[in-house]
Formats: sequence, structure tokens, C-alpha cells
Amino acid sequence: MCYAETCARPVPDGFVKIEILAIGHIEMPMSSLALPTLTARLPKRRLAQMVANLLILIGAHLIAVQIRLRIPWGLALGPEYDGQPIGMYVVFIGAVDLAYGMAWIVARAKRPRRILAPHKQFRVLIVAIGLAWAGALVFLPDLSQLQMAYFTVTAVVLGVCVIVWPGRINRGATGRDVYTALIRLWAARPLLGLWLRLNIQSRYSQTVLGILWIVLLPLATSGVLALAFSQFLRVKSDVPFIVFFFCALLMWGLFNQGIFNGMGAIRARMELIRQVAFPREVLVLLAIGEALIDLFFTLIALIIVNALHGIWPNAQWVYLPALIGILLCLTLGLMFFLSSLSLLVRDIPQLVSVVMQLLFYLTPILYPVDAIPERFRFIVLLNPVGLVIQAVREVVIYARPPDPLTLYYPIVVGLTLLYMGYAFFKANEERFADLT
Amino acid sequence: MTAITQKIQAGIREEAAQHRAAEAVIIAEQVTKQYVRAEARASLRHEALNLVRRALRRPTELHAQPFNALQNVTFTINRGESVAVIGRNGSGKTTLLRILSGILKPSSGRVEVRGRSSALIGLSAGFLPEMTGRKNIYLNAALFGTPPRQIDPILDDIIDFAEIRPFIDTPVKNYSSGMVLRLGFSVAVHILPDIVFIDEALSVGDAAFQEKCVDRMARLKAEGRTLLFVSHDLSRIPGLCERTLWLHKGRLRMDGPTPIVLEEYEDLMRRIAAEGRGE
Repeated sequence: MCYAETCARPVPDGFVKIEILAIGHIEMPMSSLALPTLTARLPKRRLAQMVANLLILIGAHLIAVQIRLRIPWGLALGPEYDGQPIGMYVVFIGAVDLAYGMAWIVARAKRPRRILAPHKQFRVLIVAIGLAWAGALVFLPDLSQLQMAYFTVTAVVLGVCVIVWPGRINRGATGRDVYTALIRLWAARPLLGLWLRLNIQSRYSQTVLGILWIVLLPLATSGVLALAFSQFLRVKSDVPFIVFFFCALLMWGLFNQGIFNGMGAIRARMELIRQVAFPREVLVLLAIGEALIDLFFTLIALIIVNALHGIWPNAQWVYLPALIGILLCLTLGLMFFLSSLSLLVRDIPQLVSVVMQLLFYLTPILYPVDAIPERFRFIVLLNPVGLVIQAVREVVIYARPPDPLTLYYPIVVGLTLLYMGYAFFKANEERFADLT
Repeated sequence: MTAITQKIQAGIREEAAQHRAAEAVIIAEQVTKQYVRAEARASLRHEALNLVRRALRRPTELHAQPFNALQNVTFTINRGESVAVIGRNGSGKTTLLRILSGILKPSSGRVEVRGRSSALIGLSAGFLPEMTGRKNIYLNAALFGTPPRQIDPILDDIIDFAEIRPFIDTPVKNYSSGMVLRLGFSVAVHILPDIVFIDEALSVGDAAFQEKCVDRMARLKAEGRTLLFVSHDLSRIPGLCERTLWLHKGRLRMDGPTPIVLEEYEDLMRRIAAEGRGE
């Protein structure tokens, strides 16, 4: 027991008499020492803020390059034009550093604060964009100004999505800080691994064949597809249709399964959410983990089916993990959004099932891109999932390395969505238990 | 002179508060949890009806009348204290526990728990019914934040405490409800951190098992952990807790030494029972 009772009374002759009654021993709790203090992490966070701004500029630049060189109406100059000189990155680094230096000088004049509030970080980003444009004008006069216009618009949009919006949603939430949330999530990885394993085991625990189903099911499905497309339905294309179709279906399967399982991930475990405190995003990661495991075994079936048609795994397959990674970012970002949104707005599941059907036909899965009329081809070029699927098809069937100029946009959109979705999820996490 | 006096007084008070705060591990300040009484979710039908009512200048539907499950609850619990929370049904005991353990968020007010804590609330919620008891031990422990490698050395203790050694490799769906609760309680009690919230956990199992639980609680207390019990079983409280919080209709009605609070509480219960009989 430790408490200090103090009392101070003014005594008439102007002195103050202070009595301190019963001061016990003072003991610091161990836990307060063990907790990492905020001040210790500050310099790192400031660096993280600078890097974030730099990444936003680079991402916007990549998207601008893709718009200008790959989308029909983006072509202002000749197609041979080099849209991404190395010097651009030097300009970006200089612009971000200069903008931060200016912010630091301004802030220091008033009040020394080292990490910036979101709206101030956004202001610094705007300054950096201006500086980057000026730098490009001075140092890289060959660069298309149209591309710089695309860059400016994209950078502002990205800044709003990544800095302003996450800073605004639900300010009171304790899980708002993504950095802290990630540290907690990292501590929960044994839970994720164990739960994933047990979930897979329990999925097939009642069956006679048991865990064998995890291999048999994709094989059987692909067998059905092979039968249907090689014997009954003969579609003319340069490769057997089943080969053409299956690798796209594989990637779509990951996306589709992720979206639908992720949407129900929180709702299916409501009882647990209301009774045990654990990082909620584990449930979403569980859903994507199961989808990934299924993808892995379907990939084996794909290799077998392709081998039957004389197409073997080639050296370009080294790109496959990266492509799956891009698709994973896109899917996971949407899953974070949908899993929390479907609790807040109960109409989401119905809407999503319609949108997913539409998206299935808008994505070049059943048909090649060339089959689309020229006028509508930009739809495919705007669909990040479609772009990734096309790249996978190039790699798996034609053994061509993916065109990086078509992948910049999915990469940037994927990472942005992932960050936004996670921030949204964490901001709403504490309301889940009330939303049964 | 008075300004200086006040300054010094304030300084001393601050220092004293710091000393006290260094000791406090659970701090609740003006915690309020508000719920809406009826269907709160906006639906097109509701909105349309309300629009019509407003157009006809009739009072709109009262489905959004708030209800305070907790109202301005303020208390501090120091390290090593064990405190009981009592109150009638629906007085907000479990809500308070959920807010403290971070499952729910207070509508207003501030909650601070310093150090790792875990809540023994839903002991059977984390089980996968298809899996064996052994695997579920690991999963449950992981849910409470304990990695599997820390379970390996105490696995036998957990199984023996739950008294389910013969059935440990049976799927949990074949367990009786008592076995599931015993297993859940056993896992939780073996991996507890420094701060523990317990909701009616002593009503697990038969009399013999309950006795064991109480022994275990006494041991946890002796180890210097901070315990917060929610209980209806008033007979257990005096032996375990020296301090009791009494929640009444969402408000903190009394906070003090267990015998005094219990006496007042039982007095009220007797009066209510007498009213119920119509005397």
C-alpha cells in the first residue's frame, strides 16, 4: 500500500507550511517500464513519414508513366518516348527532403514537434509535388509535361487516400495507429499459424479421405474442366482452351475466395469477438491464408493439366510469386474493407455478389484481350485484377516475362488499398463487438 | 502570497497523484456505455416511415432512445489488489469487464489498463469443435496471447487440472458442457498475466472443482496478481477480495471494504425480496 497525503496551509506571516503525511515507499510498476515509450520511437516514425511521402511520389510517377504509355488516350508524344528517366527518382528524393527541411524550419520557429499531424504531412506532400515538378522542369526538360500533369493529379489523390483519409476516420479509436497495430499483429503470428493449420485440418476431419481432399478436390475440378472444354466445347484459340482458361481461373479463384470468405470472416466468429480480446485482423488473414493454401494445391493441378497439353513450367515462373503477391495485396485490402463494412451496412454481401459477377465478365478470363472492341479496351486496362491475370497468363502459357509497364498500376493500387483497408479495419475494430 | 501557496499546493498534489498513479494498474474515469433500446440499424423502411411521420408532424418513432448500461463509473485499482464487482442482473457488471479487457469501447470516458491483462469471460468460445482437446488447448492459449512453445511444459498440468485426461484426444464436440468449461478455465488459469478479469468463472463444474478453482484464485492472489471478479456467489467473495464495487443500474453505488458493501447489498436484496412478496 502506498499513498501520500499532502496538505499545505498558508500561515499568517507569509510563509508556507507544508506537511507531507505518510509517504510510503514508491514503486514503479514493471509493466510501465517494459512498455516502449513513444519518445523512443519518434525519430523512426519521422523517417517513416518521409519515406511514405517519397513512396507516394514514386507510386504516382509509376501510374503516370503507365497512363501515358499504355492507355490509348494517354499517348501524347511518340511511343518510343522514355517516360521514366533515372534522374526522376533523384528529383523525388531531393523534393521530399527539401519539403521536409522547409517544414522542419517552419515548425522549429514555432514549436519543436518532430512528427507531423496527417494534415501537415499532406501539406508537406503538396509542397514536395510542386518541388518535384519544378525539379523536373529544370533538370529533365525532355520529360513530357502531360505526364507530369498525370503525376500531379495521381499524387494528390494518393495523398488523400493514404494520409488524409486514414487520419480522419474515427479519431477516437485506439487502434488507429497502424504502426502499433502491426507490432501487435506480429506478436499474434503463432495464433495465426496454429489457427490456420487447425482450420485446414478440421475442414476435412469428418471425411473418409481426410486431408487427401485438399489435393484431390482441385484435381477433380480441373478434370471436369478439361473434359468439358477439350471434348464437348471446342473453342478455337492458339493454345488449348483449357490451358488458356485455367491459369486465369486460378488467379480469379484466389480473388473470389478471398473476397467472399473475408466478407464473412468477422460475422462467422461473432461469438468469439464478443468474448475474447485478440487482434481481429487475424480472422481476415485466416481467410486469405486458406485461399492461398487452396491456390497452392490448385497450382499443382494446373501444372499437371498444362503438362498434358505439352506446356511445362518455364524459367519465367520466377515472376509468379511476385504476381500472386500483387493480387494478394489487392484482395487483402478489399477484404479488410468488406469484412468491417459488411457489419456496418448489412446490404454489402448482396451488392458484392452482383459486383463480383460483373467483374468476372469484365476481366479477361474466358476471352483474350484482343477479343474486346478497341473502344472498350481501356476497361481492361483500368482493372488491376485483369492486368495481373493477363501477366500471369503471359508467364504461364507463353513463357514471356510480364510487361512492367502494365503492372505499375496494380502494384500501387494494391498497396494503397491494403493500407487504406487496414486503417479502416483498425479504426472500426472496437465497434465489432457491439455490431452483432 | 496566496498564488505561491496555490502553486506549491498544486505541485504537491500533482506529485502525490503521480505516486498514486505509479501504483494504479486499472484506471476507469467516467466510463459510460450507451446502447440504443431497439433496432438501431437504419433501414429504408424505417427512414421512409420517419419521413412520412415528420411530414405529418407526428412524433417520430422512439426506437433510438438511449440506454446507459454504464454511467460515469470511476474507480482505480492498485497493483496486487483483488476486487469483487457485485450487482443485480443487468447492472452492467459484464459490460464493465468487457470494456476493461478491450473487447468493447466505452461510449465516453477513459479506461487505462497498465500491463498485460486477460479476461475469463467466454471460456468455450475459442474452441474448434472438430479438433481434439489437446489441439484446442494450444489454440485457446494462443488466443490469450501465449505461444505454443510456452504451453508444452505445462500441458500436463492443464490436462490434470481440468480432470479430462482420458478424453484429451477426443474431439471437443463430444465433450459435455462441463468438460468444455473446465478445459477452458484450466487453460486460462495456467497462462494468466498480471491482471485478470474473471466473470462468474467460479461457477464452473461441480462443488469439488469449484473448491479447486477457489484455491487457485487464492494462489493467484498470493502471487501478487491484480484480480477483478464479477460474481453472484456472495459467499465466496469475503475470502478472496478485500474490496468490493457495487454497480446498480449502471452506476457505481458503493466502493469500499467487502464486509460493509456486502452488508448494504444484502440489505437491499432483502428489501427487494420483501417488496416482491408484497409485504
